[in-house]
Amino acid sequence: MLWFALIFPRLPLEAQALRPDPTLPMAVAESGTLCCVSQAAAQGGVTPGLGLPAAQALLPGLRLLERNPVAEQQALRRLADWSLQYTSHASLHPPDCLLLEIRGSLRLFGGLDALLRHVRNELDALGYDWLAGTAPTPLAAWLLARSGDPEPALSQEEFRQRLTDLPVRLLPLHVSQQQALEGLGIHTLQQLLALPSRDLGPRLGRAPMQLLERALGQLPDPRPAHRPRKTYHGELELPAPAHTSEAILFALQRLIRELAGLLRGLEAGVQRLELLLAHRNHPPTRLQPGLMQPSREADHLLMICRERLERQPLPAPVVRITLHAGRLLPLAPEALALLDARIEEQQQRWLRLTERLEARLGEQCVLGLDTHPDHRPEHAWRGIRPGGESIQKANPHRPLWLLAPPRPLHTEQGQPCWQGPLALCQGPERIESGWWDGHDVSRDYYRARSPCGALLWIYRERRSPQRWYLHGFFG
Amino acid sequence: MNDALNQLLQEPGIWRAADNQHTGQRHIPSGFAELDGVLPGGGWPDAALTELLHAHSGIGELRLLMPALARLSRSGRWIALVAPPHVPYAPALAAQGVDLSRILLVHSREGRDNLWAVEQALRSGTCAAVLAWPAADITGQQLRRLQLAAEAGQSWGILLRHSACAAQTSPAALRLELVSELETTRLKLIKCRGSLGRQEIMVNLDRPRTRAMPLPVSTLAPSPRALAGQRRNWPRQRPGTRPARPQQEPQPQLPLPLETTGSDTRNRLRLVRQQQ
Repeated sequence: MLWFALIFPRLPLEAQALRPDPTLPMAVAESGTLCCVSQAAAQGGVTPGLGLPAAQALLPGLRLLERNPVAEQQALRRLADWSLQYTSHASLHPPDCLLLEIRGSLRLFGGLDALLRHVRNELDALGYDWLAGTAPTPLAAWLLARSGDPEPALSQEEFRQRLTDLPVRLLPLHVSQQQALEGLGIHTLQQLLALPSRDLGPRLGRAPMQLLERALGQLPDPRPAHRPRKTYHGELELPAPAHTSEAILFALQRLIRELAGLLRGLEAGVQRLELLLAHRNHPPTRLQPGLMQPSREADHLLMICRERLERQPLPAPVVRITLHAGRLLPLAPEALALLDARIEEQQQRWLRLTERLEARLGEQCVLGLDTHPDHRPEHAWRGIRPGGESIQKANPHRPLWLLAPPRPLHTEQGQPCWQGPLALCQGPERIESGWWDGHDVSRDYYRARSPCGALLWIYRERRSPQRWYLHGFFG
Repeated sequence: MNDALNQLLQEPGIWRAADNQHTGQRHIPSGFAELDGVLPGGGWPDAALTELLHAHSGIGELRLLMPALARLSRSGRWIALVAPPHVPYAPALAAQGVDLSRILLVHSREGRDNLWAVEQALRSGTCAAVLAWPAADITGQQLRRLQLAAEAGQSWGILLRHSACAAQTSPAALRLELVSELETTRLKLIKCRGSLGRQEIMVNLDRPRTRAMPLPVSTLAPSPRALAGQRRNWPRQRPGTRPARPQQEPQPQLPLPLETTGSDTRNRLRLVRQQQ
């Protein structure tokens, strides 16, 4: 296992506002104190934990936002949806962290460096600040991310060596426990590990050692996998009312990229988007850009939205954007660049045809064909999804047409008849099978020719009443 | 006078029905040398409708199509069967060399949906061949629609109909009636675009003989060198199938003759493909 922890230190701020202007100082306040400040505000001397009056005094132009935990949780959930393009096992670690198991994805992305580069590009486009850590256990990855050390620890030994650099205050402990450790002169995790845990327990409780053991992989640390919803719903407050389509698109880009990440993870696409632009003192503008066929390309979706948006007159500046995709449709993985574009086009046409047929006639009416390993003729074939995996076991003794169910033949003086008396050309071939599932057969098959020249495949039941049946045509 | 006529025929605006080189029509080798010989272009007309009329099921209406369908199923496009009257039997199709993973089977409850599905499949451009069993009351207008769809989608549309429909007019490029006669099958060309008059030929459906590679039917053993050369040219066997057996090798008395014909068909097809 290799875990990748992503911490979003400015999530309270970024969940509510994009980085529209890096020079604009902003901060999020919760019950009278600041809990998160923007980069510009930090440069102005405002730090988290500061009281509101002090902050206002330091930076008169500071824009303050009320903390919105619900928006944060939604943003984190959307980020987890987005992260499913990198792994099948993403786990939320509230309030501001995602844990991704990436061992299985390294080969797909071409190594850890390439994966990290991909994540970095995507997150920069989304507009989130982030810290990352890579380690064999989730808690270790989280500790490394919190310490701000981007160097990955690929094995337990490597992580153990790094313990000397990790301060004890990184551990999520109670303030009293932290103070007790300070009092003991314990500053790094290495020092904590060196203490005998039996003596430490009564003084500090089991928590610190347990955390450390989990980080070292000595205690199990299962993480629940994030299950994405089958729809997408994203909402974004704009920090300042947007007047132009460019400004709206800039904000919309984050939602579209999140959606594209989720679609890549689910191997799905969207055909219709719902875009709700909220105005102050006006009813919202509703747009429904649609596509000819499902897509999950962020640039493609953005282009569609841009075209739609530029045709739309807006009654007032936009204060909030909502993007909703109700139906995520299955979409095959993108073709590699190696493949011929012509083949790709053929594939697209084929998909369109089967989709149309299935939409009108029903899925069970559009089938592919395959053989099935069974001696009973009626069970030796089956319908599969068109183009699905097939066995294709040939049998040259079989007719091209099979009658389902077999048709009873009448007899004249013991001779089977079908449009006249039949002449047996070949046989018998005895088929006796299927006692295990209640559909056992015991038959003698013959090839017969009818007076009109048709070649038939007929059989006689070996059990009483020993009737003749027509089971196929050698079409 | 003759000169004047020849001069007139040189005019690019003049199109002669028997001259198919200028029509740009492509053809699909049928796998039967006798049939290829009489069809203009040497094969089934691609991107058009073909009507196959027969009075009874089981007289070889599918066997006649099999060599061409086997070839088309490996061309990267699909073969659609819309509302077949019985179950197209997968083991037998595979034995005829058809790639089953390229078969699309469409059923529907209503006849109108059938025609719609046929038209969609023909027009989509993704099906190399579309087989359909239209109802007896299909109108000339509907047939015309299907013919146009086949042209648009570059698809070979095959309508299997009852012999009683022979009198109806049809825009199909080729209309063929099958009559079974004990060992062989008689094919009557009712209509054939680019060819003159009605013709009749006899075909043995169990022993397709391709024009491109006429295999010796005699029992004379060929020289070992020729045999070795042939072997070298054979493509690699698919895993799981028996190695191709030269026809001339002494064979045990086979209780079921279809086996030899089935595998021979495939071998010949492979040879043809190899040559092309």
